[in-house]
Amino acid sequence: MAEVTYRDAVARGIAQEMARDDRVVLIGEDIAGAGGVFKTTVGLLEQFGPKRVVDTPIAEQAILGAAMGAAMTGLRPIAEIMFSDFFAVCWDLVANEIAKTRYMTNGQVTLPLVIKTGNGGGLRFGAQHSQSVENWAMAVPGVKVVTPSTPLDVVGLMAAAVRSDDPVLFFEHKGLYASKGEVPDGEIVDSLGTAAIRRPGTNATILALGLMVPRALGAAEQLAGRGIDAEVIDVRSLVPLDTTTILGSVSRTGRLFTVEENPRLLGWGAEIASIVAEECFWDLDGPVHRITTPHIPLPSADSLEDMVIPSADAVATTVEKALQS
Amino acid sequence: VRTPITMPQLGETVAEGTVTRWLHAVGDTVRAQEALLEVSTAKVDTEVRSPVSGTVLEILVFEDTTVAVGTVLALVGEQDNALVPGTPAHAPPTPINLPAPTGTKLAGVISAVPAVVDDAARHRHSPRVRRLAIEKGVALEPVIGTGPGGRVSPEDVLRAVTAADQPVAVLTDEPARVPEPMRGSAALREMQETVTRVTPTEGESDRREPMSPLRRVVAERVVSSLQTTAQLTTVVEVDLTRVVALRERMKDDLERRTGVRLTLTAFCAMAALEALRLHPLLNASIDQDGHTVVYHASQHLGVAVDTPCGLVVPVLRDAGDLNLLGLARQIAEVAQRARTGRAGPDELTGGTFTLINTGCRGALFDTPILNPPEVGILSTGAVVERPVVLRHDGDYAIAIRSMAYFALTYDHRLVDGAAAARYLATVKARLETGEFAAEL
Repeated sequence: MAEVTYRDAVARGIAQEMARDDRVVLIGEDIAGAGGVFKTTVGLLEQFGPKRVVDTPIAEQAILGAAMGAAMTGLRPIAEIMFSDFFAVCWDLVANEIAKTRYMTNGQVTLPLVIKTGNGGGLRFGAQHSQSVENWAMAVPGVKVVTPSTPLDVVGLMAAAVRSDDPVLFFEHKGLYASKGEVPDGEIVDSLGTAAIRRPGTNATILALGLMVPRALGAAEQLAGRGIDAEVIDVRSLVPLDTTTILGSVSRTGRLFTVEENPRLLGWGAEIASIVAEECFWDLDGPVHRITTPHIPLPSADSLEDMVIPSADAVATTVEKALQS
Repeated sequence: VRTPITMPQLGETVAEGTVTRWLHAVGDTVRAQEALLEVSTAKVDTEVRSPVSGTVLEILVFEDTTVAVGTVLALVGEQDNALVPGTPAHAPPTPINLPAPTGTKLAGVISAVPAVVDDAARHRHSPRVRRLAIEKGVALEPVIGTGPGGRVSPEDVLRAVTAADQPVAVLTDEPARVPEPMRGSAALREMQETVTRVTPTEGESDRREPMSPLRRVVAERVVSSLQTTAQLTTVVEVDLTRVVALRERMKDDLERRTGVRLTLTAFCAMAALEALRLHPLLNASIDQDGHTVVYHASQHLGVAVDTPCGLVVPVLRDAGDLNLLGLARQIAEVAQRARTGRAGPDELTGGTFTLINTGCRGALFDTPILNPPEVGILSTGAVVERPVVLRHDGDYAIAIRSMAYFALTYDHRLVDGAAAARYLATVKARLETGEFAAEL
């Protein structure tokens, strides 16, 4: 058992799978010699060599095209899109090619492919390098979407993603790279499509993803001091979605709050609110509340960025107010 | 020019009123001072008149809707082409208990309408509470909400299960009928079927109608009275033979001379008021702080009146200053105003003691309910001729006398049984002497 940073956990998860299966390769911009622009692939070139850890030009379409071809011909590639914002320049490959191939070949061709990417804000990178775009991904049938919030989950979910025979979009949160957590020694394999109850509670269910998980936990601590016992669930996987855990929790507490970093319209919480309204309406003891970034491009200025992305204080205030009305 | 018609302030303490009936529709022409609608408040029912002549342009509050004083009810003015006659505004005003809508604002004239104090809003239940109520066989309407804004919480439902004898057996005979967990529309249908079985006493031919505003006020007040005071009733028997005889002797002549019909109630009021001066504790109240006694300098006598709409208690201000004739006259006047629904709003509050005639329909006595903050209410039963043992100069005799039971309910927090009995003894003695001739 060792304390590991989120960024080191990425490399550890990839290394675990590359060591296990030599079909696993890594491809992306600056991931080899530089160890990744966010230092999430440090040591992999040295450990696995330049044939399996490949730097590319600045060309996202080339990265995904190469990764897709490799997956179609027997490898299990991990491709990196440095900033998730850059998915916009290679989205045709994701949405039209990678997501559709298994369906359009009647299952004859599978794409065991992981696309890892740095997602989310809080680092003052501005409107084009800070977005939370996991809801773009979950809108496309044919890909799985996962977002770990702890170093342990990074390792376990990376292993599960690599072992999936279908394409997985693996959203690392840039704001969490420096965070630390205990990771046991030995092989770690998690399962996709499972949420985790981070804090059990009885009065309200708070769903969060990525960087919003520690903030939701901070809010729950504040609320505990005000007599509100909130349950915090780390959604972890948007596709597939662990509706069993989510609906079970809402059934118990009767109250649902989603904490989303994405801009408000069509954020993942909207889909969950819809499912909850349909599946456990009779358990609700009040309206569903979504706590999100407003529907705006993210500002670069620190004070402004801090203002618009949901904070622990904002979550606590919203929950408390809702439970008192 | 469009003149807004607003919910009037009917009495100092009145905060809201209910639109009971529109007398005109959109497009109707009204003259100045013509009645436009009828409203009902906690104190009084009345008409609202149009201050101007013109056309009813818009009706903004539907019948049976309760709104705050000052709320715009309608617009009267010159016909405007933009407004099509015969189309009342469809959007009801925003109920006050709803959280303010985020993002959108109601546009136009509706946004100018103050929030509604909607009694129904208090009875909105969350899906969870409804489902729990059905599962547990609890009727939600009587459950008192302790949640935010008076909402019924799931815990309130569970408390109601343990507290009340709800017809749980109706459900438990077929427990499998309530699916767990209930999901989807089939479950909803099933719940609706279950709802009808929760209230087994209600048949298809039963009639349901909303309580009138007055009925609701009476209902709230009597329950509140019993819940907030310690009520005890003491009864004495009063020999009214002399008073009855005096009244018989005087009443026709008096009515001819003064136009006032002398009633037994006037005698009872007179005796009750005189006794209040001797026993000021019965003409007192407990201050809102709960530990200060307020002794009222004047006697303001509430007189309970049975009206077609229900019980109304108009108050005779400074009744202690009136003589017998004055009491008879004024009791008759306020009773008449109350029966015809024309009692002024401030005429219905501010009493310090209440008199109620239980006997007019033959009842011997009852245990009246206090009208807080008053601490005493005297109820007079039917006057009946009864053989009574009399003692005179050491001898006993049986005589036929006009007898009545007087029941005094008092707030035991302030008044002990002995004090109540002393008060009743004074009333009894005063009436049994029958010496009221000087008052006439």
